[in-house]
Amino acid sequence: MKTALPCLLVLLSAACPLRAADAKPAGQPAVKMGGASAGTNTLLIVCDNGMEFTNGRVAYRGNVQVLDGDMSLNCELLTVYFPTNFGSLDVIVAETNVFITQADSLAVADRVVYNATNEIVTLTGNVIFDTPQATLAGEVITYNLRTKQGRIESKVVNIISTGAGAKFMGSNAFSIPVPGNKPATK
Amino acid sequence: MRVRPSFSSRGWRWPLFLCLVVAVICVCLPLRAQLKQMPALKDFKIVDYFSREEMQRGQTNQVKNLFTGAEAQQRPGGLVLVRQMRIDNFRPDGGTNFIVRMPECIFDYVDRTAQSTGRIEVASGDRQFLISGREGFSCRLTNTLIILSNRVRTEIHHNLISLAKP
Repeated sequence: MKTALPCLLVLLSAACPLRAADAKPAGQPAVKMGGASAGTNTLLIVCDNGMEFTNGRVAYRGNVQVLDGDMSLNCELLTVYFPTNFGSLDVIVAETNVFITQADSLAVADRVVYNATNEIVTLTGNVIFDTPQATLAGEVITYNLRTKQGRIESKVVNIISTGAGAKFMGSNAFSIPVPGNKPATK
Repeated sequence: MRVRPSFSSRGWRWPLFLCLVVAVICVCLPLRAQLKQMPALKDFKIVDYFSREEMQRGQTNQVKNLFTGAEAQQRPGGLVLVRQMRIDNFRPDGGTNFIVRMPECIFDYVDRTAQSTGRIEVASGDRQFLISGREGFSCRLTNTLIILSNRVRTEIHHNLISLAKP
């Protein structure tokens, strides 16, 4: 048996390099990941806890940040909906601790829905809408980015302060030209 | 008086050793042959077609997904290590819906899934929508579900938003 062991070792050592070659770590391939850098004509979304992508819906989780020019939105869950494939963008829904800033304006809500087809933003749940012209609080506030007019839908309306430029047209409707609010179409 | 057979005699050792050697050769040689049969596949293409249920009326395009890769190596469990993989997903009208690019991934041919701890880039056909992740992903192409881990960056071109406006 003394000669058998070396023979077995020789045979096994012949077989082992095959496995070793099989398990060799792959080198870093030099693949150029394309993509445009975030310019002024792009809306940038970053998140910390990953995202799910399906046909017609993209969901971002954890410390989501949306940057669009001078507008910044922070939330915990952001969902982007597409009507058909990726031809255009339909609705963007921001949920949980939504915080929007633009120039001197600020909006806080539990949920914000932006409809790209009619450019109406709907803020719901503990809404505070603060601009240099006025500070509003309510449960539901809708704001049209095209006409710069909004409406407080809920019964509880708290107009904290008003300044020059803000108009209140009764029936909870208001008009506030948000400073620095650029046209959505470029 | 019975004589017990002696197993310690030299006559038993060599047949036993030879049997052992033959057994080892029988195990190792097929393994070696099997590995030799699976060389790295270069510049491969796999086409995935729309199923009969998915086909729409008057649809001429039948290609749903096109998988291309620079190199593929067989891995245990029916998995394939693919380098520079690209998945083109097509709409029923033939236009490109989205493109997925991965420098490296483990691809399950049967389940049509791809996984990696590395980078991924998903772009719409017109590149108006671009998602990139660097910390792992999982793709299931049968129902188009892509999950990106940890930090993810997305760029949406304003044209995509303005296209929704009437």
